[in-house]
Amino acid sequence: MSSIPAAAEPIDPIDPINPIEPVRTEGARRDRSERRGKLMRHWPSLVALGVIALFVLAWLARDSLTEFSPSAVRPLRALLPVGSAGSPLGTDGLGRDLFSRVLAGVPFSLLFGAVPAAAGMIIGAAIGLVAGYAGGRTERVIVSIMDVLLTFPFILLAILVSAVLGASLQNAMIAVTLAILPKNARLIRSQTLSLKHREFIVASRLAGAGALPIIVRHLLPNVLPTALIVASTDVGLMITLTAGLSFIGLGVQPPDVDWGVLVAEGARYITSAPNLAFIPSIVIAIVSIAFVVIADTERRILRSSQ
Amino acid sequence: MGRYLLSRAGSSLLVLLGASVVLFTVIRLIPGDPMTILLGSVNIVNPELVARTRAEYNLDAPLPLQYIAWLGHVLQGDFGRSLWTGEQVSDIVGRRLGPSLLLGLSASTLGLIIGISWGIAAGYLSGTGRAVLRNLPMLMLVIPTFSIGLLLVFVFAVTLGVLPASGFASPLEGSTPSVPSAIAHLILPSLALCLVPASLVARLTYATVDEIEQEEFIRTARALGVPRLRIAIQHSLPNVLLPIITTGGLLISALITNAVLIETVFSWPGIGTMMVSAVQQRDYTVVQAGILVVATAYVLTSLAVDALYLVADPRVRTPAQE
Repeated sequence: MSSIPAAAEPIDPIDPINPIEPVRTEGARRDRSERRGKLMRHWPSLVALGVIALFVLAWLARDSLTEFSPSAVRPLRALLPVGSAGSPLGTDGLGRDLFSRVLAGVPFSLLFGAVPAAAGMIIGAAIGLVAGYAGGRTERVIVSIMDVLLTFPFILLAILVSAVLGASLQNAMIAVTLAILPKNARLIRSQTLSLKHREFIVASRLAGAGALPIIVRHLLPNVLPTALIVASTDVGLMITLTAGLSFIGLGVQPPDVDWGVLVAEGARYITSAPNLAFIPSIVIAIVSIAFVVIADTERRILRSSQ
Repeated sequence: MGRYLLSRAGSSLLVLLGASVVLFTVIRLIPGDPMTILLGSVNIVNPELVARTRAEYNLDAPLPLQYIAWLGHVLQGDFGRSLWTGEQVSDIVGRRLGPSLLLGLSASTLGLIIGISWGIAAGYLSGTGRAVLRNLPMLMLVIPTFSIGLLLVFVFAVTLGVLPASGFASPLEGSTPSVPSAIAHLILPSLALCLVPASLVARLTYATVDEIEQEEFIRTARALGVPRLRIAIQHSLPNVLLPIITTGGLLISALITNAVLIETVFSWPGIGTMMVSAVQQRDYTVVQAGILVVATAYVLTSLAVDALYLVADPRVRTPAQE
């Protein structure tokens, strides 16, 4: 193991042996307002996070928010308009309550976006770190494979996976993960390349640290902020993309619902009840935008702090 | 220049070969004996018939040989018969290819025109207009394409009743649509499909405009009193084309992915809807042919865009660069 600390890790400003008790002075007050100012810069992220939390909370409290189960068929209540008593968003052709169905879609749509984004980033980062650090032939082979996969139309992959393994949520997630993997691998590789020759990495290597400890202890923490920001954008884009897969019947399979399934079902009633297709569409857009706003805000703050 | 194109063509060929190997192998991983599909459960008990059919379809040969035989057939346009309808797959694909190409072509033309003019406007405007034009493309990328398609249907077909909502030919006119009817059917799907590539192009364009604003030739032109519009058209436009061509593969890929969604919204009789229904019917021969045809179209257009790069950027053509 290396005995030299990584230079990029922030050095704790407080002396760990003789911690100085903070005294409330003019300076401390300024610190606090400065911290509040720093938090204020994150306000778009906080609002976006609040929007996402609202959906999750509504799903958790779904039993007390609506009396209808998402799959309860009630022919007498078919195609009620928006604002009907008990069904604020209306009902579909089978009398199922749209509000409870939108809530039932929360876990499916969020996981359908988040799981591939997370998996794609973890695998992509692993590939990128290894390729960037190893260099040479390993890097060339990985990079050329990633370059080919990078722009290959993702829908063909999704169609192939669904044709062979059957159309299901899990299989669609596999296809989507494969689709975003090359982009992330490339990004993390280029980050790794720029870090590779920095002093703290060279020092660790001189101190005899192996490749794996250097990648895990020194490279990974340094690419992590970028990776998290990109993954957040990906969740937003993936929610839209995977809703598309559900829309054409290759994603979530009824009776389970995500918002893409709801739009597909609502499209049949576009003339008589446009709310059935447009309300889930608006929900997809709001949640995707929330994730993109978080990523955008944090990226701006990270860039200005560097 | 020639060497560059040759190496690009070579790697494109490798991509296609790789895709065909993956496709061939993966389709054979599907559980179930092809004999059951070919003979039906009644004849499968007849060992003589099974042996004869296995020999006829070359199923006893080693996999690599089977692959070569299959590739030979595919290269001659023989994709076998649909497992669902029994029709020749090449006939189905032939019927579906035209409408898909037409939709792709009109959407990409529209996308380029809208995207570039949007990007240039966003690059040169100031104030609120600038902020709106710069943030709208990102919004377009997260709003689902199929929802935009449905919105267009709702506004122009349902509410205003000025354009047809779905299909390619109206039912009264038979299978070959008249030109005005084809154009009327083409407008809404093209508009919905062009928005994603247009947003990507717009973002690229204003980023490039920002960059070249700092360049000396733009400053000189401005110092000499050349009007802004003329600077935009004469000096910015040619420079904007290069980054668009460089990301051509990505744009084509986004177009193909969204085309499958838009074809579904508008019941467009194209390759996309063909593949989607074939997946649901477990019609593997049709899925296989669809994926191969779209992958080939993708690789060929990417190659053509790369060739365009040589035309657009004279620096690449000089011998020093080779």
